[in-house]
Amino acid sequence: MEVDEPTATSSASNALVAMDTSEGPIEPDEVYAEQIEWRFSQVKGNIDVEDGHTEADIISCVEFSHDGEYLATGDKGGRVVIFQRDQSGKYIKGARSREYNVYSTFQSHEPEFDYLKSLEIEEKINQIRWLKKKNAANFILSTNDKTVKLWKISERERRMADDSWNLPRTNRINSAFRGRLQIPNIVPMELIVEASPRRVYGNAHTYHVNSISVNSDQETFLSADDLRVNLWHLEITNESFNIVDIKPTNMEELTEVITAAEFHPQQCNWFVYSSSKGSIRLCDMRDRALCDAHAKIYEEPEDPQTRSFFSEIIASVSDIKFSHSGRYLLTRDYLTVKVWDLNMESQPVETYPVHDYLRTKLCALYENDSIFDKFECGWSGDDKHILTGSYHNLFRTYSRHARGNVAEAKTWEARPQEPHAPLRTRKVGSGGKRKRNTVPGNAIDNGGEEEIPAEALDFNRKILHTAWHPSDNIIALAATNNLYVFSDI
Amino acid sequence: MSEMEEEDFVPPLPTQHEPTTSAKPLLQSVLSRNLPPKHGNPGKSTMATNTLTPLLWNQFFDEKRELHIGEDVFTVYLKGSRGPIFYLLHGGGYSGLTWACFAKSLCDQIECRIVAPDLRGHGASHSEDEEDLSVSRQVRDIADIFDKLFEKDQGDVSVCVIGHSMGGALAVHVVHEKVLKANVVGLIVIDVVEGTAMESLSGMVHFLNSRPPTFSSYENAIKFCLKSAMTRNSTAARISMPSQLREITENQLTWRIDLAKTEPHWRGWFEGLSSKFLDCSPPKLLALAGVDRFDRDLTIAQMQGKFQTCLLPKVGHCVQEDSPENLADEIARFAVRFRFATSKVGMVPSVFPERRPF
Repeated sequence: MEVDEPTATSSASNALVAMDTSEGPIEPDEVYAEQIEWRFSQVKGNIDVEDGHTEADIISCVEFSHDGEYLATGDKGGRVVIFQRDQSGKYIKGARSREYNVYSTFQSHEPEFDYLKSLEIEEKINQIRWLKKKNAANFILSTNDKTVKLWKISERERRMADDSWNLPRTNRINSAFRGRLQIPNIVPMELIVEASPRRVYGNAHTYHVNSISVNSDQETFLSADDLRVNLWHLEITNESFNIVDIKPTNMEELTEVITAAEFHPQQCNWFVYSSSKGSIRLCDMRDRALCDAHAKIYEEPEDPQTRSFFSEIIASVSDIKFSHSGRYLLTRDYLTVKVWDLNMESQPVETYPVHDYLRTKLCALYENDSIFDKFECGWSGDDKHILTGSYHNLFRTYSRHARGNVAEAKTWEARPQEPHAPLRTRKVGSGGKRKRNTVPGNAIDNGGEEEIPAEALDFNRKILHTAWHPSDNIIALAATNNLYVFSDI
Repeated sequence: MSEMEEEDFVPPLPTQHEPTTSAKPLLQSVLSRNLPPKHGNPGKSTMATNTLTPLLWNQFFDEKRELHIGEDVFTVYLKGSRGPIFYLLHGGGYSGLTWACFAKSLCDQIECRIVAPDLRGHGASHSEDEEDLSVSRQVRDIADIFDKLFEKDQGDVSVCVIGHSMGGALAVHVVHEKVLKANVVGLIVIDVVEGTAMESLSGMVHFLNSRPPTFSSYENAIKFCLKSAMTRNSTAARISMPSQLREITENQLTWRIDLAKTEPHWRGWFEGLSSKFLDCSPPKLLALAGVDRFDRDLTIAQMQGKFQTCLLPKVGHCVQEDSPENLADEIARFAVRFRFATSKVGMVPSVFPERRPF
């Protein structure tokens, strides 16, 4: 299987394989990536801490469009809010304005009830995916647990002038039209953004849909639930093809479920799906119709030293993303984020710890269900940086090949600040007391890294959903009911 | 070592089936397959306290009121100040405090008022005739209590009646006979089904005799309660068990009510229950601990969609004590779905030690 390789290849046999952040693979032609310093840009949503937020406002997915001009968010109440980048053309600090303003809001899914099984179907939006722009309108796919919908978002800026109608609009005309026909006059009007559901792809999933992914051919897409992956054509709603089915004949023997699935960004025949056991399978649809047998399986053998009661749970992959180049895969499990080379199945090429201080707290995290939180991960537009979220409204960005081939990671806290003010980096210590890193003469808030003790972490505030702009260094993070936008300017 | 599985009517059945509620996603159940089951009340048990001291009513309810109705004094536990009323009727041998954990969970989720009386001969209520537990007498008591509490509202209130076991049977009679001067918006019955109940009546006397007649302390009673699996939730046991006992002397506690003496009334509680239940017009929910507890009439009616069922996994007969959060979850959703309650702002998921699990 040939993989297109845009960058210069390193001799694969000599490639150093990284198990921690101290060494990365040798790619001598890579220019080192500057560690990004994030600055506050915007926050959306009610940031009043005192006022409890409603359950329905919790943001459940964030996604930039392919050109980065739009940002879509879905929430637990089934609503989709689309933001548009500032179109006024103003420049701030030498670059085009990076402000996002509300463009359209609509109710995508409603709560439903399955009478046969006596089960409620939540309206929470699990995922949103943009289609590439083909005409003036934008299209998105949004899904809840059971149904995928295709929405068309179009602008209307012009209307017919009132006096230019040839026939009165209300009365039925019984007689023939007499008079001179005039060509209607079109006048500008206030911009209206309309969202209309174009297709509804339903009744195809018994279990809860966790991911959707649009193919690079922009004609088909897949939807994955816990046990099956279905392939759809965008035009056809009453038919879908099942391409992966891992349901055992006896449900008692169920040991593994599908946690995420994605199409390859360039190859229209490849897709990957990840499982709760920590393995990722690459399938080729040209091979056979039912892709239960994988073409490649990416699995790292478990390190016997770190084995614990919870090893299986923390190995479950919560998110999977192809790199923009299509050569690498990014996977997120509970404690780490890993980069896999598609050519190498035996182990990831890079592994980055996210919040290792939680390793000793797994028991308590299991008791309150936090261990089942599904964090997302993301690439930067140039694939040189990785983004993922953590607890206490902290998030981490990793620059893969920084100075001297050493990857650098920084932890940031998402909180409202002055626009363009740099974000604070934070450190979490396993110690009980807060340590202060005071430089004499400096106040704490001026960049002295104050350490947060692991016991003081707030597990209610977590950044599960993140998105990175396709070309600029702008990131959008969902922190419960708030959307934060940060950029490097 | 005798692990006596206590069930009022039916011996417990293995509840390890695929969860039918959306409460626990498939991913979680697959991942936690090989791990020991979580404690019923994780927030409390991860703390070092393993004590089994009794808990007080005021940690769960807002008010404990004594109502004088004729010659009888009924104790009622109240919580909440706004919203629809949830009238909670406990089962045979229990008291209003059996609902303590559940009431707390429910009030966290929806705006509501809770009324949990101690029925005749139970808990802290004292009546002249403590042995007349017939349906007619108890239905009248329940109506009287309600009238006493809400007479000034002139019938302009919404009430959802919830009953467990014997209380469930009473709830059905109360709603069927329309004795409450209010707008009944829901009827919820917990783990009682006519057919299975009638079949197990014969085993009841034997079961009652096999319980220890006295305890030397509240802690011992609570320990017994947990060991014999009357309740699987230690917090619920600590608040509910003491109210099921009364003191003879300082070091001797016995059961508050001699249930064996109420035997003549048992048939009356359950006879015709299924048809009366189906006859009631408000929206109905039947919460069960296991799917095998259905009888023929109810199975047919359920297939016809005449009422909603919810199955709670891993609970014993005393559902509201074993799994108060799950039950509160289900009932809150039922209430919101039928639009007689609104959910509360700020349902924040849990965290370690002190706070409640989601």
